[in-house]
Amino acid sequence: MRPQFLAFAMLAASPLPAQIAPTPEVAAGREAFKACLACHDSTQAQRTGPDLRNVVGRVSGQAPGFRFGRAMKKARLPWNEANLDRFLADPQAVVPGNLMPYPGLPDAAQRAHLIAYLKTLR
Amino acid sequence: MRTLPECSVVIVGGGLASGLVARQLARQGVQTVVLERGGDNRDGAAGKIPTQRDELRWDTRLGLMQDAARETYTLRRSRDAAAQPMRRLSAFLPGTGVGGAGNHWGGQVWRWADYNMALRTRLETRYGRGAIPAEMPVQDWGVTYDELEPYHDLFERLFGVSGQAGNLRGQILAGGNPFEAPRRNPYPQAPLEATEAGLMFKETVEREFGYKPFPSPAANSSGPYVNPDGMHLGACQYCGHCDRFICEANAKGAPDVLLYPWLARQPGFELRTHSHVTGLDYDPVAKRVRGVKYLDLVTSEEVCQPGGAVVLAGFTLTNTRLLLGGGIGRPYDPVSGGGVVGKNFCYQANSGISMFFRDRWLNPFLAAGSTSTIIDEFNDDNFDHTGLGFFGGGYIGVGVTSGRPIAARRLPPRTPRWGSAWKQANADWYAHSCAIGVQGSCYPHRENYLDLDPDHTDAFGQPLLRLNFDWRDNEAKVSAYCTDRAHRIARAMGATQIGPVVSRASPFDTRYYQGSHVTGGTIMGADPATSVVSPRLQHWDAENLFVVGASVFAHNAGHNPTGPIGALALRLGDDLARYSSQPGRLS
Amino acid sequence: MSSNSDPAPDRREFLRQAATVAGILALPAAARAAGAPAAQTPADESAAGGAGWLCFSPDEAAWVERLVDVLCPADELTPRGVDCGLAFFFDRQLAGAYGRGERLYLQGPWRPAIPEDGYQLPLTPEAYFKVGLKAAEEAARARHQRGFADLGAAEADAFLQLLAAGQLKTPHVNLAHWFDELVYPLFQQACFSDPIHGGNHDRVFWKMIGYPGLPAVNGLNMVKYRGKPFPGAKTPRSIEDFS
Repeated sequence: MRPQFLAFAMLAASPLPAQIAPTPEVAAGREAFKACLACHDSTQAQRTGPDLRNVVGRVSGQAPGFRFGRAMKKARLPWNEANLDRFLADPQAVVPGNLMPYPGLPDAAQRAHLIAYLKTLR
Repeated sequence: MRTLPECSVVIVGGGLASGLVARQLARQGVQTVVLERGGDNRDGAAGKIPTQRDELRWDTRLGLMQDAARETYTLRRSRDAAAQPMRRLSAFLPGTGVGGAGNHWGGQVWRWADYNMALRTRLETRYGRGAIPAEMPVQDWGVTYDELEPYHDLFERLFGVSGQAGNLRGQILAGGNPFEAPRRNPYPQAPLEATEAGLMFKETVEREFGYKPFPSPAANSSGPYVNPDGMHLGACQYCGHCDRFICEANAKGAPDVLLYPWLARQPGFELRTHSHVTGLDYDPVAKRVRGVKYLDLVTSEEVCQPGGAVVLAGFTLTNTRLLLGGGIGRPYDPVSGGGVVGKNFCYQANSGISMFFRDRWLNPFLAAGSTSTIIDEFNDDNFDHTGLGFFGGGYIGVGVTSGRPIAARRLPPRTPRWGSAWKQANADWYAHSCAIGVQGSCYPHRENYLDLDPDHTDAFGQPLLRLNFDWRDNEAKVSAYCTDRAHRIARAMGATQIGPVVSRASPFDTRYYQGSHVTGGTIMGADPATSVVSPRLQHWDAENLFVVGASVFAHNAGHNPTGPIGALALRLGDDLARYSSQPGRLS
Repeated sequence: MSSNSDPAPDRREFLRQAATVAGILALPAAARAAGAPAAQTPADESAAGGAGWLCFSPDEAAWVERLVDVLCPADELTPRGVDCGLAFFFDRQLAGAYGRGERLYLQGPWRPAIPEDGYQLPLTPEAYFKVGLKAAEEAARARHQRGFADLGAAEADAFLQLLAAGQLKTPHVNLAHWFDELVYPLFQQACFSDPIHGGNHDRVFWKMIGYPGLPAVNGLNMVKYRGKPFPGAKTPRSIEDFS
């Protein structure tokens, strides 16, 4: 692989500098995030799902370069940890009519780990 | 006509087989160009919620399929009949666009029982030298399962196939298919979730008959997956919009998810879309293909792309059509039995029986493309055919793969066709019905072959391919036998009602979908007198021409064809890399 | 799961504009208050109104409205066919690409065919539909001295039974073939396709059978509701809800 490609791959896989070890929560969250990579891989041109770098703290439907559906744009939901937690538990309940083909993550601990990982995506 | 600089390898067709061949070539640095007549469906309406979930658009109106108005096929069931065009494509559905049928397939992927590669030897050994009827030109393929096994393994790993191994290096494992060919590795992923109807089938066949049911191997990803090339699959959402659709969750093993995006990043690979191949530039003296002629649909310019090697990897029927159109190889003659191009055309003898269970919630909309529970006891030569009067068989299973309400509703016999009673029957049975099905083999027959139609042309002025085909005596018997077995299981399952029991027989009915598993026409074999391509898929009459896809199958087994197609394509890719550095006859 | 609450004002305006373009709002007010079973009334009481017809003449529209009311009478399961959008679906399909013969190989030569060869007429679906409709109307007048749209409910149903069974003696047109090839498939599609195509108004047929529609994201449902009634089946959502 070309060097730039390798760097991007590392970025998606591990946003932390190699010498700083992730916390157990973040490591577990990175594992859980593997279920999201088919659509949210920031190394691929954004097609199925938006780039999630900097998602924590952003407002819903604002990720650059992605065409959101009406529901997500209109929701104007701040992606704080509480809203992310509710959304990831049952996406259709929190943003009805959103276009993400994901059923939700029922386990609260797994969601917490995932959110911990998302916070590191910068 | 504009002639371009020569490319090492030129591949006709931008579907599954092409993508796999190209993947092997790209890994070994061989310059390759793929010519695809259609466009790129990625990012289009077909693969995005909510437009993806439109049964009328993609299923009923065949949104992703080859446009019959531009190109279709004619059919005659005997040589003394006049052929009719299939004015709507219904029975089988060639795809178009990058990924081809590999995008809209349902994801069933099998390794055929190992004896299939040497079927004639198998049948003669077991039943005697005179056992195979003269009109059934079953023949050995010239390749062994052992040679293909590593490529089956690679294809499964590239496509993240979900399944339960039945034969791991000779050890028979519970829960898998005891008849499957031995595999070196388990499936890359765990099987899909079973359906309620599938569990009912499983319980019945185990208890009542002692059969060994197993989950269908599936290129519907049972979980998130990363393949050896770093390409991702998402987890299947059991959305029930799989076959005929593009997956919105990137969970179906498909060329446009796993192959072409990776290929796009490889130096030396080029994909040309909207490039409609019109023919091959063949030198009959030198016995070489100089290049591929195509029409650039965006500019209407005729272009010739020379190739060091040329690969026909279009849909099954396209491969034969190009050879016949280009005068490459001897066309098959059904009268004499001589010639090869077009011979051994086969299909798939399917049948099904509806079942209705008043007290069971079968929820047909909770389904993936390959959520089927299956037995193989009556498939191929897995059972003793002595005295039965036919060869071949089929898998039997309960597959719940769609609850799409236009087409997937089942109604008991004698339900009125409209009115309040019709509505009530729909309300009563939609969530409480399913079917037991047979996917049956189709062995070759002297009178089943392909040639060019003398009277009908496509939108480009070229003759349509003519199917000379009907269900012959052997397949009528296979279907009757297997459908009867399915019926016995249906009765044992305790349904409130069972639908009509109809097996496949002449006349071949073009109105109903019977699977897109048409095979043959450019068959492989060790003897140039009876095959079009060698065991290495190299054309006997054009040293730099190769053909891959189900068109090289000498017969069709009672399983979907994609597994062997994948294995053969990957192997051809390696062979072509060898060929590119050292041209000549491959052995 | 979210409830089917009334859309916000700007969304209603978007829907109204989109529907006007698509002609979905061709249904009269009575249809939009669907749910109250309508009595079997003659066709003239429920003209399409709204956006109008793109394919049918007034006589053809009346014929098709009668047809869909026979195929789908009002009962406790659904309103009558017109109020489910069924006639509207027929009109838009026949006026559109399907009616004009998309994906239909219409080149000669033309030869006599057997049923197993499929559709072999040199007519587009729209043209064939109108030819058949005219022949059926003539058959109704010959038999009943009235047009099909003026028959009573039981008479019209009986007439259609004969037509579908091939028992009407019509010169030239094979009405049983016309019914099987065109009318009946369009009827089923009208009932069960996504409402974005104009039929299945308010998802009434999906509710009737328990098809949940969108989003069909069943990664958890597959196990949670295997063998059990599915809660979303009573409140199906369609493409419009996700647009």
